[in-house]
Amino acid sequence: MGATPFKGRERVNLSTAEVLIVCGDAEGLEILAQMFAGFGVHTPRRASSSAEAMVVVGERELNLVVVDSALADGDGYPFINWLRRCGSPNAWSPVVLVTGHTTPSQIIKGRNAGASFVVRKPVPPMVMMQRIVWLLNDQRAFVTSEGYCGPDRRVRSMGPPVGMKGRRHDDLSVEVGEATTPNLDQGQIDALFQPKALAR
Amino acid sequence: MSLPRVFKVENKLAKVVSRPGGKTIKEALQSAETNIESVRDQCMTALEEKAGNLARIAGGDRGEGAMATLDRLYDVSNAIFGVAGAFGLEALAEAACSLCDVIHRFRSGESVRWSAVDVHVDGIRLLAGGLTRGADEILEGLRKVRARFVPAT
Repeated sequence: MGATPFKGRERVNLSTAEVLIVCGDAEGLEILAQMFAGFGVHTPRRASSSAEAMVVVGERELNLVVVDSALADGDGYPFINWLRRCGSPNAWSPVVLVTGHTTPSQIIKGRNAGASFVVRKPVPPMVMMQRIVWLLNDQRAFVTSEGYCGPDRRVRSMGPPVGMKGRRHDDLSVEVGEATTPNLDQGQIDALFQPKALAR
Repeated sequence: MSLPRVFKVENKLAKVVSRPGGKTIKEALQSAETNIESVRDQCMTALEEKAGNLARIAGGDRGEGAMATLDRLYDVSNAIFGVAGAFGLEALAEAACSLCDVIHRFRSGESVRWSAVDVHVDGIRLLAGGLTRGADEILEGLRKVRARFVPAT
């Protein structure tokens, strides 16, 4: 194992996490299941098809879903789409889509299906762990609409497009209003940058 | 048409992962790598089987069912790419990915050249069988074939 971007003391407790892994290839499924068992997941739930995965979704409260783009009964994208609209609390579970041979259209397809993250194979444990850590801090809101259901696809808040009003309650106006407090004079600004001697 | 709804949801992963106990990330990564290594032998055997399966599929219908043949070839080659990559078999992974690239072009409207498929299948079978000497030459040949169908990026 090479250098990691993690600090030595960072911990993860996945022992009670319910993780569903869906992959159409038997060996691909085995590799992912072994990886998550190594991460500490007590019993990773396995499914090779969307039909099997749907059964697990109905039986367990899931904390994470890992879906390969190729399942035994078709693509992984319709399953993610179904999951996001299934009506159970599992609809809001984080979903990592794992793709093999990847075209740009597949990334867009995965994003539009409602995946929280798309990861291209090969996926070493380090990369998967980085994505998990990213998902732990994921504060994105969920969006449901006729055309899309899943995490807000805007990862960065750039404000509404130029010339358009925002549709979300927390979108800020592009118009900058008058200051509501007195402006700082240059002396006050300079003082913020000057080192101060501390009393001993 | 209903209006879009935007709302906050509980982070279900963070809820469990932050509980006391568990492993350091370093320990988790080491365990994961050890676990994956423990299934190496079975995956190597499966790779050879998949390569054999690839050859059987390629020998199938090239007439009216050509698209279905290409679909099946793509799926198996994609699976080989994933498993080979997980175990650091870079030459095999590249050959399998190259076949996926070429088939992707054929499925997107390019005229199918079965010779391009066949040469990939032969190369993949040799590499999956553990061939190391001559692997560079095989890959070089496949890169040239791929370049005829897939524009350089």
